Amino acid sequence: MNHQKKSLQTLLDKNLISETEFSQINAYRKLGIFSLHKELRGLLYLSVTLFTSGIGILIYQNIDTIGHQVLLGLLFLTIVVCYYFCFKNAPKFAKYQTEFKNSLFDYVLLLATILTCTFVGYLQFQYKTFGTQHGLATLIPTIIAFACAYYFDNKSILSIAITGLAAYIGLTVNPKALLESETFNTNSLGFSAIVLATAMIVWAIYCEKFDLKKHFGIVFNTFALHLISIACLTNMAAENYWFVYALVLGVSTYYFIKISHQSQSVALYIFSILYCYIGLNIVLARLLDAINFEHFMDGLFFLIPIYFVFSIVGFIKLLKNFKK
Amino acid sequence: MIAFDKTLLDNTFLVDEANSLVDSGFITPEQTKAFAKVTQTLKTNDNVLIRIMMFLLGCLAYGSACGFLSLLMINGLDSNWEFLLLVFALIGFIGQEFVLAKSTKMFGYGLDDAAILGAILASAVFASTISDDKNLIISVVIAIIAIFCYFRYLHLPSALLACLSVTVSLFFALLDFCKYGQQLMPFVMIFFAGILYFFSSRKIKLLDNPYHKNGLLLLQSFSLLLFYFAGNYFVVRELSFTMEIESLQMNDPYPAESSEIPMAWFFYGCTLLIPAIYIVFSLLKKDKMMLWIGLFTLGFTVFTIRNYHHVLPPEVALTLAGILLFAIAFFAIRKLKNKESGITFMPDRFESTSTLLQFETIASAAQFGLKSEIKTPDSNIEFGGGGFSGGGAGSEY
Repeated sequence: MNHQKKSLQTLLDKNLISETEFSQINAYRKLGIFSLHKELRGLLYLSVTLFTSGIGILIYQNIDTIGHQVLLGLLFLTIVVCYYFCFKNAPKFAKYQTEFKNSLFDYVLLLATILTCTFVGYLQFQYKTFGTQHGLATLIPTIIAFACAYYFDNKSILSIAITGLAAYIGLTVNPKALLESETFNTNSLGFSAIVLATAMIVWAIYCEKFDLKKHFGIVFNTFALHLISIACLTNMAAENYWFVYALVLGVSTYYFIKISHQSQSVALYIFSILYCYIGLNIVLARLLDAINFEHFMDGLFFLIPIYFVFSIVGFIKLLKNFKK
Repeated sequence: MIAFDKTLLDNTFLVDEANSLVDSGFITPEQTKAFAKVTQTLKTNDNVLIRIMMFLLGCLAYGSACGFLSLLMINGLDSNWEFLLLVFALIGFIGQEFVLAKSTKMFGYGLDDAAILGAILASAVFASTISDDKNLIISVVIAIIAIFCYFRYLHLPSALLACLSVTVSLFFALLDFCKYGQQLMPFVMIFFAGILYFFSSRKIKLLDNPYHKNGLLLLQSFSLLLFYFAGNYFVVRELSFTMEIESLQMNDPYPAESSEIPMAWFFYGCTLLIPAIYIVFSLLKKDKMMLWIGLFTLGFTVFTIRNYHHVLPPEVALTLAGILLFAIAFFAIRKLKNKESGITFMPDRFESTSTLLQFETIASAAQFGLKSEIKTPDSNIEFGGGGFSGGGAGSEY
């Protein structure tokens, strides 16, 4: 590519880069590195997905046919082998960010964790090992996942653990459920969602303060943002105490906008202003409802386009602000 | 031809290059910050999320402008309402040309995407109403405008639209004007894709300014995909089945399923060989894009074969495929782990892996996340078995 050399030369001419940097960059480009890092990791992730899905279906179909002890034994053996290799190759536990020397083991670990969930689930389904208290069958994989996430420093497993924690208190908080809006089945769960989200925020602050795996903060914050905002919005639309939830939403929006600026996270910022905007509209509708707006109907129709235009301009302004 | 100020455009690409040097750790952020302050550039949004938001906001603004205009003019336009569409398109083009490109100097900002794509959409609807839904005319109109927009505003989504609409135009032209068009279709498309590929590869090699780099890369990838899909057994068989159904008379018996096509061996050959060729060539030529396309087409080949030949029950196939992929990746990593040049497992300094990791975090929560048990008290699956919820993703394999 000629233009790449050209623009590097221009940068040198403009004194942005020094002679040594210029030659370093050229030397690196001459190596002709063709990195398959991402591709191989992607393949590994895909293989874990395929394998666990296949195994899941196999177990489910054969639940009463072939000797399930054999199946259980095989599953257990695989888990043990996976964990063995992970422990053998793991870096020493540290409070800061660590990683496996060979990222292959990230996926071995993921496999082990998912299979553990399947294994515990299978035990529960077949033998009712944990009694009829199903919560325990969720809590055990969750604890294991949290331990793995912190010990081996793995964000994917952390997010699985968080979904497990939420499932334990009765919420389904994965992105798919969010899209299909099945996160809450009853409004009474709104309160527990807010408590859980607050707990996660507090934990994130604590970790930040004591330097314990700081980079996990963004995962906790993301889950907390969605959980708290959706809980507030659904309750604002349905409950009588909507102003309480509106207050909570307001406070959380303020907090998350602050956090998003601190961590330079665009996703946090955009979602918090979106949720806040929806919340504002609900509040507006509630207020109009409260003051019997039939009398102002005509004026309202006149105001709607103006409101719309102001919303668009406001959003653009807010997005621009974040860049600075 | 390009609407933007040349120096500003050059500066934009320069700052981009400088930023990529920062990301790869060759220079410090402070160095570029000072540079970016004194250098005037076009306004762009590098962050995809912000750009999408801006695009949506732009669509809303554009839509409300059009709606407002319709309200004003609807009484006077009882018969010739089609021309309103032309006015809509003009709003988009004028807004893009004078407001977004010339005065506010936006380039890949999100709002400009809304203006350009909206204007193309309005023109296409206009073409469809005055031509009585003639497919060929619609696609030719879209092709011409999209090509123009690409060259004037270097707008990548328009380039993609141009590639698609030119191909579709060729498709309809062949059906309308050639007696054996349907039979010749796959071969013409393969030939067309080949020409596009060699054209774009030659141009990329000779490129000495960065303006058209991304456009040409897009054209190259598009031609590779077209080349594969034109020869893919599934595509050819199902497409000819669809055309057969459309040409049926009222009383003809309705075929329930597509039947074997002539020259099936050729298309099976293409389906199987092309992904392999792509992957091997991409490793030889060190072409990332081709490698990705090779892997994607390989997946589609598996889908094609499994669609007609049920070799293994899905759960066994899933498990075996998982083991096989793991083995391939495992041995590849072992072999490449310690290499420091050429093909390697080391991350490239110029490519960031953070997007992949973020994607993995979200995807694993979506696929393997535990589900609440309170939700389904009557269901058979009483536990949050992670394995079951992941089935949706790869069920084709």
